[in-house]
Amino acid sequence: MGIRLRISRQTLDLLEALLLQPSHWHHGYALSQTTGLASGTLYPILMRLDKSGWLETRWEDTPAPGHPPRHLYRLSGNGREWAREELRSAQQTKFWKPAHGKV
Amino acid sequence: MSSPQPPLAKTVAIKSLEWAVRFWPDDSRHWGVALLAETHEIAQPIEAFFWALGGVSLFLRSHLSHLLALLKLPPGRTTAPIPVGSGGGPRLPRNPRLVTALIFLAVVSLLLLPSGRDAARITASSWNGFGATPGEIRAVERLAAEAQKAGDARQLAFLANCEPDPARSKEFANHAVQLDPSLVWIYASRYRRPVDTVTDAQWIARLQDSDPDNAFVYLLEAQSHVDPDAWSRWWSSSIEPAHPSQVPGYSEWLAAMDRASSAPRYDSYSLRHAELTRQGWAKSPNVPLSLVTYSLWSHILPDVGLVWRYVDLRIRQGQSALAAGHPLEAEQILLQISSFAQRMVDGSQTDFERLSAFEVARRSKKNLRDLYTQTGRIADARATAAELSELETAKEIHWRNANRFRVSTHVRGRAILVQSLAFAALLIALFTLLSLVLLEMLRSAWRRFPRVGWIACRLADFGPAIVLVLAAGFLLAFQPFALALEQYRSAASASTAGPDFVSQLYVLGAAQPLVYLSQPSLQAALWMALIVVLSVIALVIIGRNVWRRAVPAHRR
Repeated sequence: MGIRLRISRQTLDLLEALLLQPSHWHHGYALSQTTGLASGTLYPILMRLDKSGWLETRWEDTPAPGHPPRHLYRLSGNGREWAREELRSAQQTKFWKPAHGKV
Repeated sequence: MSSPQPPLAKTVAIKSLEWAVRFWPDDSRHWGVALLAETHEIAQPIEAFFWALGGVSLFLRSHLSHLLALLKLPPGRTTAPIPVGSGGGPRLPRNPRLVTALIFLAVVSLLLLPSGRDAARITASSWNGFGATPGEIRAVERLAAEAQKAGDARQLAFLANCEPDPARSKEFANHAVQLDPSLVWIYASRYRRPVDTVTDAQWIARLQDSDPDNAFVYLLEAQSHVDPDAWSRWWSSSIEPAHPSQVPGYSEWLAAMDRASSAPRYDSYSLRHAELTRQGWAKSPNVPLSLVTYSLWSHILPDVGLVWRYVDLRIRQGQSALAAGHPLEAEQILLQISSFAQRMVDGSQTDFERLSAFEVARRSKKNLRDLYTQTGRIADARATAAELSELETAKEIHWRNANRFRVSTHVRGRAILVQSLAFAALLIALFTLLSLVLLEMLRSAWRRFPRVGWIACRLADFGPAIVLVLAAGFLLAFQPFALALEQYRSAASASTAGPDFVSQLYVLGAAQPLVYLSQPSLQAALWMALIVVLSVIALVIIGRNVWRRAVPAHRR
C-alpha cells in the first residue's frame, strides 16, 4: 500500500510514540516532546506517513477559545501492524533501540 | 482588562508562520496551518521560536519539492499529466519543463565557453557594424584613466585609437604624444575619425615636422584641403578645372601633392598601428573586440582617388609638354611620377596601398613607354616596356595573393553559414521563449486560439532542441574565424596574422543578415533556404517519431 518509506531512526522513534497509545489522537507538539524531534524533522515524517496511508489525521472539533483548531494524528489499523513489524525488525537488526521499553 | 502582549520571540514565531502559510503551496498548506496551530500552544517563547523556524524550513522545502514536481510536468501544466487518449483535454506540449530547461542550459553553457563567448560577441558585433556599446566604451575609458595614471604612453595611444568619441580620443592621443613624442604618428590614426570630423591642422603640422621626408604626411595634408561637396563637379569630369581658383583648396591640394610626389620616402604607419593595436590588446585583453576592430580599421590610408587624379593630371601635363615640343620636360614629369609610384610600391604596408601604388606605377610607365616610342628612343622604350611587363606581372601576383582579395569563396560561404545559423538560432530561441511564456502565463488565452496553441506546443517541444543543434552548428562553423582571432592574439608580430584576421572579420561583417535584406544575394538566399528546409525536415522526422512512440499502432 502507498509509497515505500525510508525508515530512519527518527521515523522509528515517531512510530514508537504513536504506538504508545495507538487509538489515542496525538498533537504534533506532544509528539515532538515525546520523541525529541524538532518540527522541521517531525512534520516531513508525518507527511510521508500520511501520504503512504499509514496515518490518520483530523482537525480538533473544539479548539481552545481564541486558538485555531489543532491537527491530530494516529496510526491507521494497517499502519499499526506495519509499524510494529518495522520496529521489531529494526530492534532485531540492532538498528534501533526503543526509548519506552519493549514494543 | 486587556490581555498581556505575548513575548517578542513568540510573536515573531507566529507572524513568520502566518506569512509562510499565506504563500505555502496549495497541496500541502494544511501542514503549515497545523504547525501554526501548535505554535499557539507552546508556552515557552524561545521554544515557539525554534518550532516556527522548523516550520519555515519545511515551507522552503515544500516550495522546492513543488518546483521539482512542476519541472517534471510540461510547460502550461500544473497538475499530473492527463493520460494519453483521455480526450477532451487541451493540447499541451509533451516535454517536461526540466528537459526544456536543461536544453536551454546546454545552449547557454555552449555560448559561455571562451570560444562560444568570442563567437557570440563577434557575430553580434558584426550585426551592429562592429559598433561598441556604451558599456564597452566606459570600459575603455576606465582603462585609459589607468594608463594615464601609470604614464603608459603606448597603452594610452592604443586606447585613443579604440575610443570612438572624437574629443576623448583626441585628449588621450595628445596625452600619449606628450608622454612619448615618438608616438606622434598616431595622429594619422585619428585623422578624420569619425569621417565628418574637421581635420586638425596642428596635428598635420606636427606630423610633417616630425617626419618631413615622408610622402604620406603630405598626402594627408592634400586630403585635408579637399571639400567633397565643392569638388564634386570637378570630381565627375576627367579634366583639370578650367578655373582652378574657383575650386576651394585646389592650389593648396596641388602644392601638397607635389611635395608628396617629391618626398624621398613613403610610410603610412600601418604596421606601427597594427603592432600598437596587437600589443595593446595583449596588455588589456578586456578591451572588447568591437573596439579593437574599430582601432584596426580606423587608421587612415591615402585617398586613392585623389592620388590617381593627381597622377592623371601630371600625365596630361607631360603629354601637353610633348605636344608643345618639349620632350625632356615631358620625360621629367613622367619620371617624377614613376619614382613616386615606385616609392609607394616599396613603402606600402597594406595590400590596398600596394595595389593602388601598382596602378599609379603602371599608368606612369605606360605613358613613359609611349613617350619614348614617339620620340624614337627605341632602346628606352623597350627597357620601359620590360619594366611595365614586370610591374604588371608583379601586380597580378600580388592581386592573387592579397589578403583582402585572398578570401576564398569557401570563407565567404562559411561567413554566410555562421550568420545564417546565428540568425536562425536567435529567431527560433525567441519564438520558443515566447511560446513558453504564452503557455505558462496566458493558458486560458491561447486555448481560445487552437492554431496558435498548436504552434506554441510544437515550438515548446522541439524549439529548444533545434536551438541547441543550431548553436552547436554555429560554433563549429565559426571555427575558422576563431582560429584567425587566436592566431592574431598569439602572433609574434602584427604583420603576420593581422591582415588575415581583419579580412576574415570584414567578410563576416559583410555576410550579416541585415545585409541580405538590403543587398539580396543568391548565395546567401541559398544558404538560408537550405537551413530552413533542413530544419523543417528535422522537425517532421522528430515529430513523427514522437507521435509513433506516443500513439500505439492500432490507434493510428
